[in-house]
Amino acid sequence: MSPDPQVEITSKRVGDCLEVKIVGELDLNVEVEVINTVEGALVANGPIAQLRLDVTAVRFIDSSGIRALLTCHHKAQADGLDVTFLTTPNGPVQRLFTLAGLDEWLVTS
Amino acid sequence: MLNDLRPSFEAQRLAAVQRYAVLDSPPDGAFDRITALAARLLDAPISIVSIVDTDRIWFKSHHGLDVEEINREPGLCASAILQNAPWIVNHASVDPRTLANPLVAGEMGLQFYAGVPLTTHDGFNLGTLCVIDSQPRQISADDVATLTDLATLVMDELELRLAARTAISLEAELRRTAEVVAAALQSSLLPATIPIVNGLSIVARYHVASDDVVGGDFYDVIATDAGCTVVIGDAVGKGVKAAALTGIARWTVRTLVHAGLAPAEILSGLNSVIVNATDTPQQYVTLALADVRLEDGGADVRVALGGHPHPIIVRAEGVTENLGKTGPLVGWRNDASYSESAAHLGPGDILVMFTDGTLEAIAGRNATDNAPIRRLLVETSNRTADGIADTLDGALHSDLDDDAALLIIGVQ
Repeated sequence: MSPDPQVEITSKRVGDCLEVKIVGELDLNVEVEVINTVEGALVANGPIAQLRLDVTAVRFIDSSGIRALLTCHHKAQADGLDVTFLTTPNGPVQRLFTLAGLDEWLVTS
Repeated sequence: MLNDLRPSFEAQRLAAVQRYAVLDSPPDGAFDRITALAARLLDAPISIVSIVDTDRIWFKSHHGLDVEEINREPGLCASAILQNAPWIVNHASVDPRTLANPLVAGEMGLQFYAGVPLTTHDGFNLGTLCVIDSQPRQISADDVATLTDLATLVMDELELRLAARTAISLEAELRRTAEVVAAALQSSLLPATIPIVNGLSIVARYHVASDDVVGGDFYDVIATDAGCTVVIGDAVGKGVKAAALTGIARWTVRTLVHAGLAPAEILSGLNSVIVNATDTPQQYVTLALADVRLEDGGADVRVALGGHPHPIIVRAEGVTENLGKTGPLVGWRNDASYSESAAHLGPGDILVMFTDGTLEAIAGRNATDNAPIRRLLVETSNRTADGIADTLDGALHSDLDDDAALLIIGVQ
């Protein structure tokens, strides 16, 4: 592990919901890492009904970062989970969701 | 006799000498340290790393002797490389092998020579590491062993330099190949020429972030009966996968334009194609597509956007406005729908379309607000399609993080 990792991902289970918090910069360098970590957390936490992705501490996101989030979203939905994004209004993720025409299609809070 | 001093397989041996590319190379501290060490450990005034060339013996390092090279014929190193063992002459003026040699009989008066061949891993003797004295002397078995070890060190250094050179040229070769492939692939994803549409000035610019990776941005201009359809897009990701998706997007759009579909229908059609046709999930493109119809006194434009930055209209009088309402990324989900926005462009009005690489390069990381670009468009002194292309090009820094494309349509 580098002393200053580009992203840090932590997860905790609250009832039937898995909360995953992503901190840092989401781009091509970490796309696969993000997908694998979130998938791993889903597997490790057994049967759950909801995935809540907290991206309020994402400082930068580009199109590859969006793809990472959408891939997590896609896989969790395919497993029958409800997926919610916790975003900051006008934060980088929310702004890119709007730019990419995703905000009407993703559940954000 | 020179011919007597030619080892068998001389042509291959010379090829090996060439392969190590050491002849006439600049001085190198590593070899100078080894000759200095050899001279000190064996208490000899002269030590040399020699390389035996076609008709000369060139000294890679010469300690205690101010000579760069000698002719091959009298050189004792030429004799030494005929052996696969140390070649020792204790008293040269009485040794039948050397007594007539001009280096021994002449002014130089060489009396003692001990040389160990520098043998490549494939068995060719390139030259020697040797020590020389003007006094006859004996050499101990320990000293021969020391000289042999030092010769091995010389050879290790030569092998190291050869390996480094090979790696560098291999890497350069791979890079050249990648650049050729990327350029060929790239050119298949962009129109070779932009069609001339009477009444419009159309300018496209494209910058790839890396010469050896094919870019994910693309644009196209398709002439129609009424004017043209212009499209600019960005396949998410980079490299060959993104290029394959770009190809699907570009040719699907062309087909749907020729079938006479409206912009929103084209995006929906492309969305279905990508959702259903790619075997890799989560592949999508962002796209801005505009149908431009020439009318008396200008052009009517209808725009559909799929997850793509808004095109900007620059009015002749110098004000800007965003055009379009974005729908989702194209290829993301089956139930995506797209809407159209319309605008009229008068003479002197310009439609500016670009990819997020352009937005990021001009407005900075994290920018989704296109205000910095709109400011440039208002401030430019040459408000023509070419002038605006030059202005935006000039604002892109040279070290792009992402590909950047521009498509500019001016109404004459």
